[in-house]
Amino acid sequence: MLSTFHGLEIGKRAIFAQQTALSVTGHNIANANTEGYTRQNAITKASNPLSYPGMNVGNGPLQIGTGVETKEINRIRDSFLDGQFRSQNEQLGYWNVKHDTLSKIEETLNEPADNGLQASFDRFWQSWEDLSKEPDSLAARAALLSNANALAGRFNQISDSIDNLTTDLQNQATTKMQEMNNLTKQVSQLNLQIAKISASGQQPNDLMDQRDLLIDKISKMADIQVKPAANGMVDIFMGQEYLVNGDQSSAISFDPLNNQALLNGKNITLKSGELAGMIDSLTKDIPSFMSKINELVAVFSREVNQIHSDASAMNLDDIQNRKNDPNAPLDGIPFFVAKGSAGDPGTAGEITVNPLIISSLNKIAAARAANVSDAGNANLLNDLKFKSVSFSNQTTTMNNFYRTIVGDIGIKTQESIQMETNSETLVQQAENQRQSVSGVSIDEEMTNMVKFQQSYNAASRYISVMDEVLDKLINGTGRVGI
Amino acid sequence: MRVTQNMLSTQLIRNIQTNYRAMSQSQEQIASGKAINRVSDDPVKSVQIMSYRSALAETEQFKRNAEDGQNWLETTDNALDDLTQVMQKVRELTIQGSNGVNNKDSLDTIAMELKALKGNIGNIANARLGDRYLFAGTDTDTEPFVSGEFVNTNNQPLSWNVGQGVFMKVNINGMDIFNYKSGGLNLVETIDKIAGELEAGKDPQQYLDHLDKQLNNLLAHRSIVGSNVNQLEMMINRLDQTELSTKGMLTKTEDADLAKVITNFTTQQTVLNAALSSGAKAIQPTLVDFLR
Repeated sequence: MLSTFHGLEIGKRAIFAQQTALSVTGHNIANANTEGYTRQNAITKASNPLSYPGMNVGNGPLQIGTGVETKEINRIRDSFLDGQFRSQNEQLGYWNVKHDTLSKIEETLNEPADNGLQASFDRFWQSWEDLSKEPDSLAARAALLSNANALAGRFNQISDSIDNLTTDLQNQATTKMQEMNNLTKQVSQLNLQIAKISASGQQPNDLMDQRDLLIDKISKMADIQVKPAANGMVDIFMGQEYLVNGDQSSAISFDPLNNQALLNGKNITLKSGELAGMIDSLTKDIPSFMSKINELVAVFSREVNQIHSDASAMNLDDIQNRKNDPNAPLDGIPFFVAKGSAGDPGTAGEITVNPLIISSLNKIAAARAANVSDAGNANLLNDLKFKSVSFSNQTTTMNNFYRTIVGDIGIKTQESIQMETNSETLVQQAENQRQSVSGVSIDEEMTNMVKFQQSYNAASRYISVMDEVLDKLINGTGRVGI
Repeated sequence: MRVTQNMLSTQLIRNIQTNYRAMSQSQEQIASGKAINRVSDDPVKSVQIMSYRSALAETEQFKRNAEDGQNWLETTDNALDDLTQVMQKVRELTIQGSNGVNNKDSLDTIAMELKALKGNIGNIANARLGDRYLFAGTDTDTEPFVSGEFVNTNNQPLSWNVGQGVFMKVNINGMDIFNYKSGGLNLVETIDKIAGELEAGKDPQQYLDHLDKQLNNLLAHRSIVGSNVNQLEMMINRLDQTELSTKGMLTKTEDADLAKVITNFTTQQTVLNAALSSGAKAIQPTLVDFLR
């Protein structure tokens, strides 16, 4: 036999279930614009039926439904898409940083423009041509000095800019790692809370959303693997090392001396993400660029100095001395020196015009014979522009070598832009797919809301009916004739 | 595929961003007039642009050198023209002195005139362009003609670079003119001798021949100067052509095709407007607007 109030109980359960569903809908609508929020769904099921012995059923009782109950409230999320998003996000972070660095290097070169290094080179050679026409003219010498100063200055400036870029990147790497440590710490704290709640059999949807959002952010910084662990916790690995181990997190730190990331005190190799981009820029792109620029400086000043300080090269002072004494010794000074020394410059940062030349224009050696208008040396020097000289692994003109450097940076920058655009598109696609699954649709929620409201109303009506039925039973039964 | 309001708005923002990026690139090209504003825009073309620019600077320099060389040669030619006139005057006077009708006084007058002309020759030999002596070889800061004598012995050429590996000699060696010897006498000495003969009342006829040889030598050098000027003129014309074609190639590689860029820009504007207006319509209504 059924209880008298069985109907009321079914009605109550229905009302509770629809109310829960309405609350979930409300929660979804409220969080429609919350970053990282996953839409939730209240799953209902029919509650356990009762056995109902029927009079005409001989072989066993019937089953009678007892209404509805809310089984669980779950997140609608596809962890496969999370993995896709994160692996693209790593690439995006990496190429973001690479593009940034390479375009800064590109900016320091400022080519092709009327005032780039190429133009400084051209003006330097032109000054020698002008000097070769009137080697005795102080105006031509002054023009040469000023163009030589400008050229050395351009090299110094490139070196300074790259030094600044290096320092900036190192600071950024340090800050980024602090940010990452902060995020991993939050993940481990969320892990702890989630574990506590999960242990009691509940599903902490909103905490899991927060955790996923944090992991998304970490994924842009470095290549991480996320693995599920006990009690709803997740472990995060970087290579073989734990970044997050349950409720514990490990700090990553930056070693600016070796441009190396350290995790748990061990050197760790990063493959992608912003941090890998920074470290690659610091250990590959910048050094390879600077070593080429430095090689250009070294070869250029070596070649110029060789001619300028040749045993038969004469400057105006030498010519004067030789007039008085045909065997007077020659100055034979280099044209370019390293700052603060008399030796050949080896890097872009240290090249400067010989201070002796800066203090006396007479010291520029344009002649190879003791006559003021002899331009033997000046002609050799302006010929240098067309001469193939030997670099470490090729023999070419200095102009060509420089253009190769520029072309190389251009191609690398172009590649980084393309890769960045590609990974941006892929991240967006992955995010779109994720949103397609997990995002809140207002239309959908509205439809659900109407649906749940109608059910709620129906359940209420059902309770009224039961009430009337019972009223009839309780207040109207047995009152015959009254 | 399930599509949510947020996806629509993200997509809209993303598309508008893409549009703005394209517009900003077109804008940059229009404003700078250049299709390539940084190496990564087109690394190959950038390197080409750099070498064209460099070649242009070279050509301009060679042209300047050639023009300066012409200047030097023309000044030399002017000096040599003066010298020719002086020599012709000397020749006239010599003929006048050797026609046998002159008395002692007039011979002395001719001799004096000749000596004065000799001074002129000294001035011509010390001719300068700026503060540099034209006939002193590479010793341009020392007077080649001192106290009636051409003392310079420097026969080094002033060779100027007017093309890659092409050098033009722009000076005439003073020695070849002022120290050219005919009958063992140079120019000044010949005039001295004629004046001496006249003063002694003799006929200077025998030196007329040497004088003619001097004059021929001078004319020969003037024709060298003339032909060098012509060569430089040709060189300049050729460099002009090179400059023009290099500039043409530079423009073709570097400059933005404005008609194309502006058309692109207009298209991008239209697309942006369409995106904005469709976005405004698509984003607004949801079911909320229709539920009562």
